[in-house]
Amino acid sequence: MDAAVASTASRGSKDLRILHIGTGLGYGGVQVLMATLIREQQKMGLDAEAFFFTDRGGFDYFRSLCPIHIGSESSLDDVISKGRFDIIHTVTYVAEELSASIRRTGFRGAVVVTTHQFGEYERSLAADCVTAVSAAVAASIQDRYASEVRVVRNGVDTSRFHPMESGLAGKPIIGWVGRCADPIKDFDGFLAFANAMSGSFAFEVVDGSATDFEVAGWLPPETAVRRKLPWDEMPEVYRRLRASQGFLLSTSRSEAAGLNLIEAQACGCPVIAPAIDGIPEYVARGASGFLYDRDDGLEGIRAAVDLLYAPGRYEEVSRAAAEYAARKHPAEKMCAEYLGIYEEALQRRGKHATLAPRGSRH
Amino acid sequence: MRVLHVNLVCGHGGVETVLATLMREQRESGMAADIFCFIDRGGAANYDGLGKIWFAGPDSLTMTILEGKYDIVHVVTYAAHSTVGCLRKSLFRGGVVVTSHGVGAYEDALRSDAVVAVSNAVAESIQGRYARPVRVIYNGIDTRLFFAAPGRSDEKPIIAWVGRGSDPYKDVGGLFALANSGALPGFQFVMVDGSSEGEEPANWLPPESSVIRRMPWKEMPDFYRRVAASGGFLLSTSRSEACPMNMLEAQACGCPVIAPKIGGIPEVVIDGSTGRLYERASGMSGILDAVSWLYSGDNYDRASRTAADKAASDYSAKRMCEQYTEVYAEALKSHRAGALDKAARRVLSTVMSSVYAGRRLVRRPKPPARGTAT
Repeated sequence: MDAAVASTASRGSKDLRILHIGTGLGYGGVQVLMATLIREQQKMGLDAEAFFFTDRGGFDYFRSLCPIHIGSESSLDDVISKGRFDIIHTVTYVAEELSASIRRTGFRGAVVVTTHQFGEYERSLAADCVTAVSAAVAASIQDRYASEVRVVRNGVDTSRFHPMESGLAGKPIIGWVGRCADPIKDFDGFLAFANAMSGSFAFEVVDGSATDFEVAGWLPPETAVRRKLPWDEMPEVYRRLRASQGFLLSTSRSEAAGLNLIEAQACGCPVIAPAIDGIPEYVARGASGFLYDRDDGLEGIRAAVDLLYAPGRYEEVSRAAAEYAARKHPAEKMCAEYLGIYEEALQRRGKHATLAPRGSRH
Repeated sequence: MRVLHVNLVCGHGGVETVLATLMREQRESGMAADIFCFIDRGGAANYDGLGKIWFAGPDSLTMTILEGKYDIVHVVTYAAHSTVGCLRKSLFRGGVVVTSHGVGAYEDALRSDAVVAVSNAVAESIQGRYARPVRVIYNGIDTRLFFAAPGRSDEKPIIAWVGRGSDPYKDVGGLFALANSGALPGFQFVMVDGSSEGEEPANWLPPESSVIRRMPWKEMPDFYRRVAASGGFLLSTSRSEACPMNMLEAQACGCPVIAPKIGGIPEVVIDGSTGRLYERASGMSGILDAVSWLYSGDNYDRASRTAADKAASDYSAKRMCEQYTEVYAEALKSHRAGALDKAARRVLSTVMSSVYAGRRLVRRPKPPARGTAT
């Protein structure tokens, strides 16, 4: 047993240290997910830190949560060397840089890679375990990894994202959340839909683009555009949509998981989204929301809207959405599943440490 | 004079159109012009009958330069970065001319004898990075193909949108917003999408609209004449434009233009004369105001006539070709050394041929011959 393994075994589970690595610290679903996971890991007694190669202004997600290292200020080598981490849990996009750091620092812990995007896996990084955020993503990368790609679905912090009863006068609000500048999110679809339905609905756009994409001119007058909204304000956004009897609309071309869909549902906000990639794994079709065929364009969305607003249906879907998110996708479940993955990864490295933090697993 | 044009992409964009137009004119004026592209996105037909077309992969730019005995290498600035090493390896001694087709687009690493911009807006955006004055040569159009035809059709007026829908700078979302708003019920919307295969945007247009993918360039004059005959106009929603070919071509066919007041657009669409410009920040309300102006009184007919007249007089391919010929002559005159002598070129060519042949043997079997000679 080498020194690192011995150290982990002797320290026991309560001292387990995890370094999460992401590319840019911006305003995206991956950052939200990492923050949610770290928060949950801390609740379970695990010790986590995060490293991002670039700072794109998303520091708020991690404020008061854990130590954050940015590539422009700290070298990854130093962070790994000094941190005495047992696990490096990384996104797939940083394989080259991370491989070099692991080589240089002689890191002997386990490496877990999570793929957040359809078809994205960088095999040059020697991972002890590879996970994907949906079965669709796992299937898209399985041929590039010798062992089974494990599916750990994204989770939502239900202590923050939960329904609250409050009525809101006025038109139902249709929300769109994402980076308008990202062609994968296809904001054009929302522009088309909002302008086609502007008489019946109001609209709210939460844009996480790094720079202002200047979309306001193409939106109907009764549209609120919010840029780079702090994550802890998102529950209020979804509750506002719910209170207005509105819904969250996704127009994405590709979506590995769609964390915003889960967060919205957790707040009782129904979702209408395209039936693509990982989305069907995150929406109880016809119960917590409705899926449409992207090839049907606006007609597909309109048909889903008709279903949602059939007499008596909205409240039923809203309740089902909150129940579905809390039951199927709670952060606790995600955290426990990752813990199992960490354990497996360490075992592959010849470690047999019990990772369950004291008092958190039975 | 032998000219080799170098472009990054061979697709269905405005740069490809202007290069084909220039090559056609150069050929008619007695020059020999070929083209080398680094990326093939299916637009080779643009250059049918115009000269040789080479693609990186099957062909090497270094070898093309070495073997082609070119006097001038004329590089689109987007391809400049990839061209630097090839010019060095081929010891090219002729003139190098770079044309910038985008606002702010300039590659400092490429040694050039002259830098041209396609509009004043582009020239101003790059002048700080080039020691000598950047010369402006507006894009030209083939006025034998793009001309106005009299008469009106019974067709519902067309609002035409022409460009690559996949290009975020074209902001096709503005078209989708307008078309679905119901604000212009008396019109039909037609999108001519030049996106490469597999990159097309979703069709978010209302059912009564139409989308035409990758319309061959030769069919564009008839399309613009159809728009003009319907009493419609060309709409641009772009975030950035240098010297838009679609606007020049549409105007030449008597088709007025409504476009945002950005980049080089105000230089080619004369506000209140050949079309109407709007502030991009005003979005849809800006477009609706412009539409209101265009269909007031006899504005449409006057704009249609003026657009065709001005395009024919100011933006002919012949004028563009003559101006580039002057630039080539200056580039050659100011050049510091003569061409590589015949013997040296033969030796270098043999060496580089062996190098590339060796690489091909190692890396992959020789690809099948493509339509390189036309």
